[in-house]
Amino acid sequence: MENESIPPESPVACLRDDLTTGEMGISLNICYNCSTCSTICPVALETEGKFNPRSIIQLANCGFLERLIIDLEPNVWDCSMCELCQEACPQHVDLHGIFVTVKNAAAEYENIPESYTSETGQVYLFGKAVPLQPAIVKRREKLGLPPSIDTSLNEIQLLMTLSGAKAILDAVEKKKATTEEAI
Amino acid sequence: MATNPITQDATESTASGPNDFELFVGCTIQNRIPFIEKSARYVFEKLGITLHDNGEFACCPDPVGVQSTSHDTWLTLGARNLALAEESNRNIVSLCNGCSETLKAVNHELKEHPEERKVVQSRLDEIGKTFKGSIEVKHFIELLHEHVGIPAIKSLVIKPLTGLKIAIHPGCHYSRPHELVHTDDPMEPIYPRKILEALGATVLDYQEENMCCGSGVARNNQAAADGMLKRKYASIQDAEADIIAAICPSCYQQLEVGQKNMKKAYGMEVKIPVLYVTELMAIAYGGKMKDLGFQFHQVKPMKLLKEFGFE
Repeated sequence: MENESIPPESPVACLRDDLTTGEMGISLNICYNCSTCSTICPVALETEGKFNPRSIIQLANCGFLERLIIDLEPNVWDCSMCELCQEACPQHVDLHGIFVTVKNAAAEYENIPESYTSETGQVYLFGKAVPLQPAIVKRREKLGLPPSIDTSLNEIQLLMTLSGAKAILDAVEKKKATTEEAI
Repeated sequence: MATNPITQDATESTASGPNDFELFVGCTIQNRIPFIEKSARYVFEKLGITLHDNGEFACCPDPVGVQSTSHDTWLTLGARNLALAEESNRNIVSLCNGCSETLKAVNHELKEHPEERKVVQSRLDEIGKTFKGSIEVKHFIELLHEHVGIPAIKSLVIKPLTGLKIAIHPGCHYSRPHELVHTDDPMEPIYPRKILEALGATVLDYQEENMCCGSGVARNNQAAADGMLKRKYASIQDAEADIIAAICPSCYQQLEVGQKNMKKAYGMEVKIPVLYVTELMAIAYGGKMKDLGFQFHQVKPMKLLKEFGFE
């Protein structure tokens, strides 16, 4: 954490550290595989279990991290973040925290859907996930609302650079350009 | 008006009164569906709550999109917004489930984890900001229920929602994860229901009330999101709801746009207007639908509401 400006040598190694030490390591270890999380997950129901929280927890627990963040088998991005599993878990496993950690590690391998990076990219470019459009400026006026003011973008961009998101956005862009070139 | 001890404590030593709040509108409402902001300002003014604007607020940032990209960035940008509000010594009220979850969770995480706080503060130092952990964040429903109170909400009703059958969709991030947001019952939230009942509406029980709108999974798996919405709408139709009430802009959009998707994906006809709880409060308090911007809804609500006597 202290050296966040130095890119991690291997996201898998970092993920292993995150999942085996501290509160998260303890949290993973107390899972007793009851499958309550998968029973309550609405996406598990829709995908007939192809995506289910228990399988992600099991793979994380057994150290099959490449499968989770490189192969995306199962695909952690199918999680809707509804947090029902987190609430229902009888062991209070921190499924929310574990899933975020796994998603962040997958993002380090550029294994992140465009719908996520495009939103984070908007925040970098405009300071807002939804930039202001001329039609909305007019609509706000018509409704008698105060104008939507732009935030100090230089601050947002500096913080996003210092905290890691900018590096992910750049790596994803680079990968996209390379893939397009190959085609 | 009922006073909330937490709010009072936090504002006691400041120039601001207990009814002054920093308004965190959020990107989606501010820059896409501003009529929701209109209704919220209308209602809070009537209730004697003063909302203060802060043009420096940036994206909360989104607990799904940005947090999943980088938890570190999510913490850092969230801390900046909290630091901005702390400078004014006012608690935040948020109009959005996502923003309130982020700002509450970041506040919680930084207070509980000194090591993380040190790292985040070192970044904030670069822009001359300090996170102190001195304010509270409230979802607008929580503020209405706990701070304003049901009797005060009820006392302003001049046009009750009598006969209007409403299916509430609370949305996930309003009350979960409960250890981070501390809002309402995490699995069966009741505050939105109590507010709408105070307006005279008939609030329905339906099977899938607490199921996710699917906006998160739609980012990666549209078929799964459609399937979830299909179950949700079918259960709302079974309960014979006139209207769906929402308290989150992301859910609001998903529940409106999803109605078109049902036709495409399943040939299923769904036409149920979606209204924000503050919009329903505003018309119960005598607000005119056109002034509130009801014409900007995708699923048009005005014809139906006129049948119930609203103008």
